[in-house]
Amino acid sequence: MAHASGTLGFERKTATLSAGAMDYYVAGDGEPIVFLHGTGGLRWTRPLQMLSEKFRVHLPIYPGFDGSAPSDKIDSMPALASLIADFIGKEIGTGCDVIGLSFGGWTACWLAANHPEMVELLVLEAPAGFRPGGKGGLQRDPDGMQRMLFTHPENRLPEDDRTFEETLANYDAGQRFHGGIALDEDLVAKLADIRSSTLLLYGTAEIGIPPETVHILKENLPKCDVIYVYDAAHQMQVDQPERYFNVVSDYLERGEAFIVRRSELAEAS
Amino acid sequence: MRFNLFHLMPWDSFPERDDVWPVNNSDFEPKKGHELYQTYIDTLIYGEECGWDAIGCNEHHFSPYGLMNNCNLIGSILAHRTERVKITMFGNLVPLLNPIRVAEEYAMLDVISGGRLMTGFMRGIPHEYIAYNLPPDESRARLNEATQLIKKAWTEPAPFGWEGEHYQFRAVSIWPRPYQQPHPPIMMSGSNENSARYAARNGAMLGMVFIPNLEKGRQIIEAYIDEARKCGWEPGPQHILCGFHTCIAETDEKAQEALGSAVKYFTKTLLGVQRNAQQIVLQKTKYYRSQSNSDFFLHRLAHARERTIEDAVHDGTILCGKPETVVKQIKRIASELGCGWINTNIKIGNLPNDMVTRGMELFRDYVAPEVRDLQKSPETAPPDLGPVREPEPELAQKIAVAGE
Repeated sequence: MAHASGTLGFERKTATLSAGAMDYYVAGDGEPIVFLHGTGGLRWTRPLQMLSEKFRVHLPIYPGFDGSAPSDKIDSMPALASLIADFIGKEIGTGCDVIGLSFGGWTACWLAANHPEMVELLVLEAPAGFRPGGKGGLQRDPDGMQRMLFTHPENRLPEDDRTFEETLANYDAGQRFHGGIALDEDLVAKLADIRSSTLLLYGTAEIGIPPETVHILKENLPKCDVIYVYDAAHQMQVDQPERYFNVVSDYLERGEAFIVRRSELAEAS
Repeated sequence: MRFNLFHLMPWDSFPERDDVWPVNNSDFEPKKGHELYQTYIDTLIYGEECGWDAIGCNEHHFSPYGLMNNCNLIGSILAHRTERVKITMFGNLVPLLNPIRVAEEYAMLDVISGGRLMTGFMRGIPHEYIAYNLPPDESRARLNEATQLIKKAWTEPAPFGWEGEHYQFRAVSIWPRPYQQPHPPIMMSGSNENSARYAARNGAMLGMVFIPNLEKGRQIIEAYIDEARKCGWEPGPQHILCGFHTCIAETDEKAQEALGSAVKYFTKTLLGVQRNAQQIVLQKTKYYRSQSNSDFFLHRLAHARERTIEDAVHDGTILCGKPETVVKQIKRIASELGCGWINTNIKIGNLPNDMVTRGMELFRDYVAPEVRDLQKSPETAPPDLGPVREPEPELAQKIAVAGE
């Protein structure tokens, strides 16, 4: 298994699911949340660690990613979403808040659409799958990838030691599920059915996911708050860990009420 | 050539004395203030009748130097009382203000004026940061972020939130949206090469309210054009505005004498009281990222009052004289700078208001007809370049050094 040398206190486990085994990491106490990683694989970031200080954070590794064995049974986005639903049912036992980054956001939308009972609040970070005309997209050269992913690569943790080649291998693993399509029209047609309140995060320096993604989701999701994270590219957890954490943790704690600013006085009491 | 009418709205009878900034306001007389506002607003509105293409507002705080601490308030009057001219803003001092408020008020002005607004995204002169108690070191970062946020507030088709370094808003959806789409043209200050390059990267017009000399002005414009080309767009004369003190009279002698006296009041009395505050800010903060820019500003501040009208005429940094003389001066500026806009500051210090009005009429009757066709260019705004990734500080420093 190719992954970081450190895991920020997360414990590695294996879930036995209907479609086979799936590895995952877990840490923290509190309300359970599931974070679905991007097509580059699981990156260790400060916000994951910070979230684990408030919530019980689950980080499943999709079949075929980060050196894990692919599954013949999981060959589409809806199938991957069903696998995650099975994971939530078996390991958590009840619906929970779900965060999805990029490819993980795409998966999370399928999960919320097809398994609404498994998703309470939904957080999408620059979700893939909504790129009309193929705008944006992955960069497959080292410089282009760096530019697409980060405005502040210097913020990467030592634990986030993924190589360029490992990232490319994960990109290729993702192809099995989505077949390289840029705009998932079947999913767009289902967005209006998603019941979960949704927080959509998008970096102001994002170039991999086009701005049209925001507009498609905002137009079609019944309950969607959009937050632009200033000076962040695709990996906003790396570029702006505090900003990301402030918004996400507040949203997970207060839901739609997060638009109302809390006074410092109230927080102190 | 297009012309903008600029007016600082100065207090025109401040006593000459050693004072420090912020200026003690016990000298402000409300009744006189009321009369000044009436006169000054009428003067700006008269600019439409006298053939100006635009009339402009600006923003300064805590000083008799200018009574326009909120340019949008004056702008709304001008928008309502005029029909043709553009309303130009040499404020708002965006880093000092709530950017959502700026987005809203600019959108209101654009709609009220029927799409005649040219917005300013200004950083302000250094001492303004004391007035609103904000660190001057943050001015550039605040301007960067606020600019993106305001553009987003203007253009985003649905409610959104913003999580930034200096600004956080969870739910934004301004009413009204701007009249001009995708948004009104933006002008940014170009007091040096760095800021000119910044304006180009942001797809903004270059606004140089005052230029120290034609050579320096040309260098700044060249930096602007160079940077715009690197960003994939080509500025035209219509994107470049250069500003000059302007005094037109029946004879050269009369104009020079009047302007000489007014400039003396302006530089010694009005500018003098804020000089110490500007020096403190420049010496104690990183308002300018490059030391050379800071030194240049301080030098200009220290030597402003030493320059004579003759020096300024020679340097091409004022428009002063009888109409024929001013026509020649404008032709020289057009030829040497290639700008398509000239910003005429027609109320310098305590220049008598009747002389200002007479100068405007001379401009209408004898100057404008001779220079109108210079630097003809289409009325197009710069392209919308989207979010800007500013260079890393080290790179910005290299650019600053190379540019100077």
